Amino acid sequence: MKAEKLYAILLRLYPAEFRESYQHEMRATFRRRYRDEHRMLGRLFLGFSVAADTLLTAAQEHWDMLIHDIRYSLRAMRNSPVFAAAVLVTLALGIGATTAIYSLTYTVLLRPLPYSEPDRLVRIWEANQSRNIPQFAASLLNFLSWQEESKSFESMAAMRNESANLTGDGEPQRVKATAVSASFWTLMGLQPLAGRAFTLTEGESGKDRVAIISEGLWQQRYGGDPGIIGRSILVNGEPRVVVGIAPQDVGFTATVDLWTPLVPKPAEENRGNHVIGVVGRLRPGILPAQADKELNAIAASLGQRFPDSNKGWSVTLMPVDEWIVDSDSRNHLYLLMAAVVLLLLATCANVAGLLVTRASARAHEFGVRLALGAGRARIVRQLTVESLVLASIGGGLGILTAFGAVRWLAARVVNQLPRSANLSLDWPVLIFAVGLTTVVGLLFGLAPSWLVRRADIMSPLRKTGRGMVGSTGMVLRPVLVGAQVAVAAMLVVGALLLIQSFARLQNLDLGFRPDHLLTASVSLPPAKYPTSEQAESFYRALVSEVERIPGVVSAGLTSGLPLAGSVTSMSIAPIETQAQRIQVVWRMTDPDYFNTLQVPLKRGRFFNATDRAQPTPPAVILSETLARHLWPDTEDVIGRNVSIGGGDVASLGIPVVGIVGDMQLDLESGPLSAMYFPPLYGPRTLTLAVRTTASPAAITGALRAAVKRIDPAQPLFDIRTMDRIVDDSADRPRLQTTLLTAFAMLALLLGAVGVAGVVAYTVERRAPELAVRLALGSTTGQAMLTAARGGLFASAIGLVMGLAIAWGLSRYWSDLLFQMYQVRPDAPWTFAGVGTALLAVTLLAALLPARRATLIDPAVALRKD
Amino acid sequence: MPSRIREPEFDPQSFLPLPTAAFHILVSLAGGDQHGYAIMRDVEEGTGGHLKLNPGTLYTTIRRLLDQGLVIELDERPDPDEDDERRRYYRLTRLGREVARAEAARLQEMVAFARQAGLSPKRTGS
Repeated sequence: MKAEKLYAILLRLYPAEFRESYQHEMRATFRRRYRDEHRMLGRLFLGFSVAADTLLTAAQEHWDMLIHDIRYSLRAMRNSPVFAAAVLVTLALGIGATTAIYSLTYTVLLRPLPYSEPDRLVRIWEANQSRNIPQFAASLLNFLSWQEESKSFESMAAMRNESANLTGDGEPQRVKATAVSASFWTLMGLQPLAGRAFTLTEGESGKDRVAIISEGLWQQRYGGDPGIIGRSILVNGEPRVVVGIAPQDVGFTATVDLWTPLVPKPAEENRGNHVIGVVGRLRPGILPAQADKELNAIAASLGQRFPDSNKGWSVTLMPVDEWIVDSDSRNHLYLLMAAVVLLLLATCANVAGLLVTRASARAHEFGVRLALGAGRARIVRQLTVESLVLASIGGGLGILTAFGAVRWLAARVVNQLPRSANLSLDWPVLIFAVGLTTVVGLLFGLAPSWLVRRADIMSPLRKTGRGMVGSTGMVLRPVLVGAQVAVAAMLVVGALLLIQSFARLQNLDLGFRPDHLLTASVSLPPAKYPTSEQAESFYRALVSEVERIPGVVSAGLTSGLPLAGSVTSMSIAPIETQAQRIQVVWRMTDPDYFNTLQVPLKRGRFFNATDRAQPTPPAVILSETLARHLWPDTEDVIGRNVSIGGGDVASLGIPVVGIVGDMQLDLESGPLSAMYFPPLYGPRTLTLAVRTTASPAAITGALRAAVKRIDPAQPLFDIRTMDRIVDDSADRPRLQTTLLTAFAMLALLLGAVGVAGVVAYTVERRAPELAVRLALGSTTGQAMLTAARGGLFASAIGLVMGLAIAWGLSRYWSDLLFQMYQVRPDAPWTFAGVGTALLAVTLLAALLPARRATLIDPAVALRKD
Repeated sequence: MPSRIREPEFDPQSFLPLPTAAFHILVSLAGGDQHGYAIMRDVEEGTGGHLKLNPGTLYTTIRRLLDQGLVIELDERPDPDEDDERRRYYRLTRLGREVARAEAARLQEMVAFARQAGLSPKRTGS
């Protein structure tokens, strides 16, 4: 009968257990109802009505069963609180850590950029292969030439970092400012929060007295007053009308507080002055490679037209996302992601191990239920629901953990990674966490289900409930334990290598004494200090005021402190071999700077008050490494001449007057070569370094007062101790090391718990056998070994595998560490150390529960069966 | 289903209100042990052909009544109407009877309440 066959198919919608119980009856009932209907129409109606009824009641039946299973699971958890707590804590940590790191990855890497059609946006750099400069700021004149001659771009915009002093409206304040081409906002597709972007005419000289302020500055300095738009504020002593309020986070930065129009003044520029950043929007359909080719053709032609400044300079293009999140930051994130995924795997293995143990303990319960007619599918379903209930609660706790972890991270990554200013748990991250929880639940829920599927129905009843999942459990558990130990080994190796690198970083000879140093910066507005004489007299007054503060030993000025970011570089070569120029960091320093930092003078002299920088530097001091690089054959370099800069900048000979010790200028890339010039006083930021006898922070107030006495409208900013700067410069590696070490310790703990668990289980399962052995004269050592053998064997295999994988990856890992910290770890020693340490940990974890084997009372153990 | 046996709760009120299908099944079983199809016919006749239980509703309701301990399942035995067909029979438990009675009382109260409000049921002309 066709209709009945169709009905039989419909019945498949019901849960298997219900179907098994009732399908026979239901089919018989249906058959008779069908037979009662004689007319075609009646039968058709019956068909529809039965189908609708089946759909509804099947859904209801599934729901009832789910609710029942959830209740059952919760009751089961209440009955074994230690097990439940172990699983939930493990899950909360695993899911919490993974969610937190994913949140970081999402915020930095995956979150869409706030630009329209970002694929068409590129960052354009200049490059110089012969001087080994892969990326460099562009010169304004080159930018104007590209803009004029290229056809690949819809538009291009220039950006120049500046700093601005805000006066009026309360205390003077120095803010980070960026001058951008008037077309910048439209080009990027960025919208101001209020007001408007710059108009094109505001990029013309004389019409540029406008500014856009950031949301943060608007709130902080102007109290969020919407009336700020249209008002005039004093920027570097000159009035500008606020036309708009910008979002704080504009994708590539979240720290700029003031945006002003960049007005190109070609007459005042030279092509060798590389100070601007360039972004461009490609025309639709133009590929970056095409634009690259075109710009390089233009660069080559510029090189012919202006050989002095442009010879050897080419152009390189980069999609904006690669510019904003550099490869170093990406590597940091990938590393954290990889570590946390390993930790998650260890978590799953650990929870699966716990569930298998528990399934073994419940063998009797399952056996009875199977014997009483419960379908195997029913028990598998029950176990899956139990796993999912555990996973959901664990996942919920994990999300709570992640909230805490993200808050902790947010305070630490903000200056370490791009785009991480507003790190929080966003919706996409929460959805990820829920998905993760489900996958994890299903994953470790499979393990016990797999056992039940293979279980022998009869054995549990025959063997009083301990045989059922025992045999398969004994295979699966060691595999899980082995996996945990392997993951722990990999993570511990990784963490140790990182700790080694970090320790070396911390023990690097900085080349100066960072203690008892206070630093602060000053930026003089050109409107108020138009000539260098005026600027010089300000700084000279400042230094002498500061040196008069009680407790101050000496004070010096520089254009840039070591380890404080901002690198300026120029090319240099001995005047006699000008062809081989190298690019080297340069700084300006006044006569007392080296003394203040206690940088040793190796030869020659420091600058003196008569070394004036105008118009070209009268003297240069080189770091030891640089001097050796320029003249490898001789130490007699004082008085020799060097040429600096490209072409028309300053190719005159400048005499070397002194050689100083090497300083660490940047921890992570650590260039030791540096050249120093006397200060060019003027509209630039100079930083004061003050050596004190007592705590440096204690003179902060006196320092501010000193500046106020000379110019009350002049803000002092970035006031930090040198110790703090050194500390901050290692923030990223410190965070990385801390996180990886925490993950490794957690994985190790989970591994140890896993090993201990499998041994404890063996002791319990084989208690009668062990009792017999002991009774027959086995020594306690032999009994312990019998009990611990399985767990030890599994962890030994896991250890070897983990170390082998880590060894296989170590080349890549070592390269990555070198790229990040300029140090290579001692791999072989680390591996030997980790191997020994983990072996010790697993031995301990195995022997503690194995000791229980020796405490078995033979009489009790044997009576159990 | 053996895995879902639970201690019956003895307060009949806690089962109310009963779903329509459940009430009709209990009423039908009050007249004696029945198998599924016979219950269905009973309900259909008792409601003048208005309520035809589909097999899905019938058996999921029976499953729930079994779980609640309102009915029990008897051993299979032959259906006198059909040769060679062995059918499962169901019997009302004492609790089931009390619950059905309580539901009937509840329905009566509702009807009385409706009457008070002037909603006397109209006699349907046959």
